[in-house]
Amino acid sequence: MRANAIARHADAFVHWTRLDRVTLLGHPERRNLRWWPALALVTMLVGYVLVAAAIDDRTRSVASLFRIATGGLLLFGALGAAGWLRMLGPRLMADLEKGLDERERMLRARAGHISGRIIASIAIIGCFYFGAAHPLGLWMPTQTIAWVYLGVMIEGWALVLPVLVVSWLQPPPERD
Amino acid sequence: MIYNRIALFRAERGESRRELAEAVGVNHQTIGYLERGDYSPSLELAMKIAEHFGVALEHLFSFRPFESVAVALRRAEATE
Repeated sequence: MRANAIARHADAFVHWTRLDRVTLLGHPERRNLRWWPALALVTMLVGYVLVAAAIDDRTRSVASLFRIATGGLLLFGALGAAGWLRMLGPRLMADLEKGLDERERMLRARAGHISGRIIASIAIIGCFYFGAAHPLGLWMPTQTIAWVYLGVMIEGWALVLPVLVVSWLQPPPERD
Repeated sequence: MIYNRIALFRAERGESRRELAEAVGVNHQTIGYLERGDYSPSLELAMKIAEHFGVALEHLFSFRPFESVAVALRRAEATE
């Protein structure tokens, strides 16, 4: 009886956490994620800003080390969450059971186009900013690690932005 | 806007969206979007669905709203 109760609670926990949806045997019930990807995007940005600002602090004070650790945790935590959100959000990749159907392929193409356009625009604005930063005395990354983290953040955005875009492009799915 | 009677035919057969989706090779959520009119199918998918229900394409899809079953029955009674 006790073993059954434990198993029942373990089952309930797995369903509650949605871990069942990401197993090979699970049948993912994908849904629109309209706010979590936005939160992941913002968290990556906040993490990067914390790290990049603290790296330039040559004093290596406890406060700056704390900011680097917190920023890194936020950046890489959000990056990990981005991968997770892709598995729970609308399907953007074929899975083991079936490929994408025509509607999903169309949505993926639209989301890829919109996300690509947004990231390209940010990169263009970034180039203009970095070009002007030195002569104008504005902040810009100076350390190699700051540039590497910037690349990591953009990679994270590219991962999660299509989930956000698709989630807003399509209305909520019907329950079967 | 393309109107359809997928939900009606599906209900008549007692099929779930998932079963219809598997029969025509799409995600079951796509069937939900089709039924709600949130997605217009390709000609290939429309023909697959019509073939699945064994009806002509124009019985399933239309540019004009379909009349309700009640109206159709009343009209059929009046013509008898």
